[in-house]
Amino acid sequence: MEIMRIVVTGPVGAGKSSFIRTISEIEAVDTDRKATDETATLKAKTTVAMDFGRLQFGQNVALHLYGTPGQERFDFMWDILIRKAHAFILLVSSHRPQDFRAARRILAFMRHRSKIPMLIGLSHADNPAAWPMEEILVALGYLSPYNRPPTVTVNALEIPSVAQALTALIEAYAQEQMAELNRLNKDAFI
Amino acid sequence: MKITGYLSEFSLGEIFRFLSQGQKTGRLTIRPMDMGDEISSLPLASEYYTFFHHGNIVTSTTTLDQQELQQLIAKRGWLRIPTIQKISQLCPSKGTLGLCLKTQGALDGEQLKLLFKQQVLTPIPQLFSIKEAWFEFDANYPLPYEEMTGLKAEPMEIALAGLRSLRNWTPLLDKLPLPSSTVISLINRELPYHLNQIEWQVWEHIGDTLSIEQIATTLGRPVVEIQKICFRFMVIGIAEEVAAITTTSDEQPTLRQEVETVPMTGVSHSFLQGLLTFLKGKKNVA
Repeated sequence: MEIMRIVVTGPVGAGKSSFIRTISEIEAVDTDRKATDETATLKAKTTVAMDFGRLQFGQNVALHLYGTPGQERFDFMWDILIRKAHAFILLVSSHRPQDFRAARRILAFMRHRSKIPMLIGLSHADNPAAWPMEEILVALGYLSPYNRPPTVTVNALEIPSVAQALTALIEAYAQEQMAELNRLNKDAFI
Repeated sequence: MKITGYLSEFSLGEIFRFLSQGQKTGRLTIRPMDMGDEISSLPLASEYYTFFHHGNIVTSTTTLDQQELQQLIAKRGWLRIPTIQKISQLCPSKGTLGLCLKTQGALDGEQLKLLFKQQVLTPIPQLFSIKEAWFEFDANYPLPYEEMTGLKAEPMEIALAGLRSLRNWTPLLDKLPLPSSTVISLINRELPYHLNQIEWQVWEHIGDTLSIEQIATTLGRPVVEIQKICFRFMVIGIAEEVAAITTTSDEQPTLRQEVETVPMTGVSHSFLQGLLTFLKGKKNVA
């Protein structure tokens, strides 16, 4: 069985559980439990363990999606997930600048531990208070337009939108794989 | 482009970093909802306007009548307002009033520096003491050349001054880097800002190995003090917080073992092709 593992991460309320639930062919493991602290004002439930979804698109081939816990105190799970993931998606709510700090923290955490390809998915982009994509990227620390991960808007409740986001990530993964192959070939010739 | 929010969500330091690093031009409006403790060197106003040009602060006002700079000059007894208006007619319309008056010999460079200090360098750091405010940045608002001296200030310098003089950190406590995090440098050249003694001590200790807690222990300082200093570093863009992995929870040892045994290999080209084809079908789902 060939499996690709993708981590779906982001601040609380960005749409991680919805994203996985929307595209998964299996009943996504619902590990939501009642939030016990201040995040309860944001959501009645928050993921305290891990969401899991699966797409089996052929015989012996499958895509596994792992959602990180919404609360950063579960960092030990992230460590495991990063080391086994092929790529990750960072979901960020476009209309909640208070979450950009948490998103930056997640990005620094991931960049510091892994070089796997990534995609930024901006949810709630249709909200009247949504920041434009360019401004969110600057707020996340991506100042140069030439040095940014692929970024898309995404509606985590719509299958086509989630599929579009995954497609962009897979394409980014394929490009990096090709680049790595070229590097290896070049080294072999030297 | 307009972005809005509240300082409790996105602090003023983070706004300044965003506007500076993004090299933004436009008007930042701060409408206080809770001034907190009395801020003596901040004029009382319902809204405070700070104007940015390519990421630098060029002026600040409390009204939009384009009269404040003229009033400042007149109050100092340097020029009367009718005189200022007469002189300004001799200059191009897109030039700053300050540069115009200097070019015409009505004011000198030192006088402009004093005006800029009164407009920007003294009051704006005080904005950091406002407890809660609504903010809006309007990138389409035209620059008020009549309010500009021609001088500019780096927002990060202003933010550093503001955060250094801040007494009540309560509104920022939830934004500070975590004690268990490490803080890493983002620059590999000479520091662009002048640090004070304690800031230097912290700067020399930041890196991959020591957490904020550990730096505090090493320096014999309260953890929250080091957190505040590191927050300043993050706001001025010279450092970044890297969260630590927390202690293993007892509830997930089985899961950890299961995932640990999964081998890590790449994915084949045919797999990717198959997945992309499958996802293309999903994109067309109604």
